[in-house]
Amino acid sequence: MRYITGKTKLALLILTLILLAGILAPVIAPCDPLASDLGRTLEGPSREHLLGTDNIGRDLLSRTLYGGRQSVLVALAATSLSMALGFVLGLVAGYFGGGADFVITALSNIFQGLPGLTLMIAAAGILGQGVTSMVIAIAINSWAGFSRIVRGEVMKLKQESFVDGLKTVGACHGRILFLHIAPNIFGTLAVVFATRVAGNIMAVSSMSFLGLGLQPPAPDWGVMISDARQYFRQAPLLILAPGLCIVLLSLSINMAADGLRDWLDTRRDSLEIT
Amino acid sequence: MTVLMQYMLKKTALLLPVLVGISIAAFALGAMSPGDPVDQVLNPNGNESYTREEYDRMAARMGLDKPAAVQYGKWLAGMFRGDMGRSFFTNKSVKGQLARRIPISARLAALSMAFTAVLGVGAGVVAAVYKDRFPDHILGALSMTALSVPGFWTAILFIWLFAEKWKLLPTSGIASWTGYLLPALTLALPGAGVCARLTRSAILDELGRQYVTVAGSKGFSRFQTVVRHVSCNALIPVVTYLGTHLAGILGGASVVETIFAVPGIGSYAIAAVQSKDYYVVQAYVLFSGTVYVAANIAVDLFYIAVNPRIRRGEAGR
Repeated sequence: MRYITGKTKLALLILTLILLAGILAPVIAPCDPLASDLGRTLEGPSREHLLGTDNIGRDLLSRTLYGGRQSVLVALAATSLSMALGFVLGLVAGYFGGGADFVITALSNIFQGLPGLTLMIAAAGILGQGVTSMVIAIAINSWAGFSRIVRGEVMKLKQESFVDGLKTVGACHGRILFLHIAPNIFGTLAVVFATRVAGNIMAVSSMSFLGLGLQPPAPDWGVMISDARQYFRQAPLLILAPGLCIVLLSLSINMAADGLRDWLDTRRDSLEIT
Repeated sequence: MTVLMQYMLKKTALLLPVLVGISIAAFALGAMSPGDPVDQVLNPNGNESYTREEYDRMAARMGLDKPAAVQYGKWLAGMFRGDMGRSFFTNKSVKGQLARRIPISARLAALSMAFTAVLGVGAGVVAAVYKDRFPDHILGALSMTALSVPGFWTAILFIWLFAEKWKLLPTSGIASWTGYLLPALTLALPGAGVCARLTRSAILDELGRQYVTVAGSKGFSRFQTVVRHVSCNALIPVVTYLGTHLAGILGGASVVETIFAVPGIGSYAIAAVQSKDYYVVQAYVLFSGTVYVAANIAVDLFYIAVNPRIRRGEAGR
């Protein structure tokens, strides 16, 4: 049955609002997110500063609006990279089997056995601080999940009779794989992509929070929460506003992915969020 | 029994290359990290000078003039002997630090896993029994939220509320066992969300099977059926998840350990990455990879215990 529930619509609405706020931040933000005013630090909400100010007098609302721009882009880029890698390797492993499958499966097992976030942090440490190294570090760490799921789907699909039919009419492997098998996996892939983006947004924030990702004074949610650790007792909004944004963003992505999964009516067990 | 032995041998043989790969990755991670270990040793304060010959002699003494493959072999042999080197900065032996820190992380992981299992399985069972009714909707929203909240934020909120405002629990450190409660709960929440969703869908899958109808027609109540028949089958995906989750916490609680000042291996690893202390990073990655492989073997043993088809050699997995 194909339907879109109210829950999914709500999730999509919240997601759209957060993304729009980020995209339009330069237009709608009341202040410069980097402009400090040392005369007005740690103020509560007022007419000029709707959410108050931080420890060096920067406008919290403006910083919060800007706060997702970089981390969402980093998460999108990293997840796209890891999806491209995992997609191709998973297709090859699932379709050809044999030695290629053995090597790719062994590699994906190795990468799944490495310690997630800490590995990202270590890799970012090796590659040096910066957006590119964060993208590479996260991609190294999350391609294996994609390749595993794509491999499983391809192994199911290549049993189907349409593949035999294509072979009978003389289609080559590349044609069967990319034009006929791959399109059947896109739905599944979209669901996995969405949940991975949500996870990677949290990973980017965690790295920035630890000082190993985006760097101050960048207006970024993870950086803002890290900056506010000494001051939030006087002004709780300093950690509540960016934190709630991270939660709402990843929650709405996860709920939209859930809705998409139900809508595609794919098998639940192969797609459970982990 | 022979079938069982063959099965376990096959599984272990498949995991061996994984372990070798992880050890290569661990070694490479250290060898590629920025910073020159010879310079670190000769010039620990950053203000001493040395000649080219002195540098070469020290590099030879540390074995760093050999090809990478030889260095890897020596490093791995050292790991087997329990010689993991010394931290560049504190000069404490890595082995001693790990020996002190692993039990702390293990306690944290065990407590967090208990929270995950109780909260997750409990919520999942209730949601499945009340499918599409109020408790199911509420628990569904809660578990979705639990897995969408970043741990570092939960940690700060928990410290603020439970420790500073209400003064119920210590803010940080593990002076008493209560120090473990907040970090364990912080680590457990996302896992409990996943676990609840897995449990719910596993039970619902099983409730649609014929044997449930049979049990019902034999006069078992719904509750009896779930406990005696459904739970065993439905637990398989849940336990698989819990196994990898435990390994994940044991090796990867780095952020939460850092915020709560728990002196476990996760906070050790973060500090080592920040100070580019690469023997520590290598030993840590090897340790957590090994734990992951061990957890996979444990999950396989569990499959054997609950699935008679494997014991009789009928099933492939």
